[in-house]
Amino acid sequence: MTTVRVITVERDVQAQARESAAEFRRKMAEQGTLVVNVLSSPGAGKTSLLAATADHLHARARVAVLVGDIATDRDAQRLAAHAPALQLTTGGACHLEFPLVEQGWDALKAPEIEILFIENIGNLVCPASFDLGEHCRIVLLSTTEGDDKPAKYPKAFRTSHAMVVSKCDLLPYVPFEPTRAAADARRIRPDLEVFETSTRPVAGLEPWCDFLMAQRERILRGEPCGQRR
Amino acid sequence: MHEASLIASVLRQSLAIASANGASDIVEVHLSIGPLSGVEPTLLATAFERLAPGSGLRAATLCVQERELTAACRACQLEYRVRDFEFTCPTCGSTDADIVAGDAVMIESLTLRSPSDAVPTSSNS
Repeated sequence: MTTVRVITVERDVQAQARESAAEFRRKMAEQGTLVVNVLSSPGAGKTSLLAATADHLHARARVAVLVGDIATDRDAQRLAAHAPALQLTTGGACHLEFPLVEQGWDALKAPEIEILFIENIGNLVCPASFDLGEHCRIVLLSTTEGDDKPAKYPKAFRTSHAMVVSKCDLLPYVPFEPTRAAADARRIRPDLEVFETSTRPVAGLEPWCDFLMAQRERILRGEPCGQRR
Repeated sequence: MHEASLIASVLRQSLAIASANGASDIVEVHLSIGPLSGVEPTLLATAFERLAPGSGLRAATLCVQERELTAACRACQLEYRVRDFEFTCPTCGSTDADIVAGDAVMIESLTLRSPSDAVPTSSNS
């Protein structure tokens, strides 16, 4: 004889993973390391932005990068000239998950890092669903992608603290209207910070770096931060 | 496709709950998703069909319910349905809000089959 019954669970599938990520976030805040998760489409310029940001922050903060890709360690090689960098290779997975980040941080062995960037896999969909233990999530939108992306990929923009518009040097040549992209993104996330940047030539990095330093001050003061809903 | 990763987690958690409840089989797995869960129901089903047989959930059925996106206004605490991802409180007009439902993949319930003399050790863990 068997019996059949219904068990109520009502649990977020990612609850346990979020707890592990939250613990990492607490630990990193206590040691004074701001963790920044950078999302974008492939080719939006994450690596270029982070290289330029590391150079720009040189006198202000010690930074390191964990860089995710499906294959190759080319981005870590590119970044190595600018900051300690470690490649996280997913072997096919379309996003980073927390255990890989934690292993990467342990393997990086970079002392007294004040800002740790995590360059996620180029993809505006899947990475938005995974808490990597970051204090701050950034979405990068390049002017060559079109200004309609915030409305098409709402989760990436809803869960981010700031949007960096990259490749602004190309604005004269592409049909991208920064105010339209910002308005669309702020319809989804009203308090989203927006920065307009380019890396060839380098421009607009000062406000963006000021924002990062202000975020680090916030974690040092113990202010609430972390994943947004 | 991160649905496979999420389904692998659903299967692990379901088996742990079934074991804690002395169940011999999982008959149904009920999930809920919403507009900001970031998943496709058909891809969840495909991942389940592919991964369930090797996980011990031999004959389980996946049921996915779609929920509305719901936010709680930080100014007046009203809970309201979010349409077209526009977070504006219908009562006070504030755009400062927290999502309370519709952005996660939730295991809502499990239908378990047990030997009649099995004694459950837990109802929800």
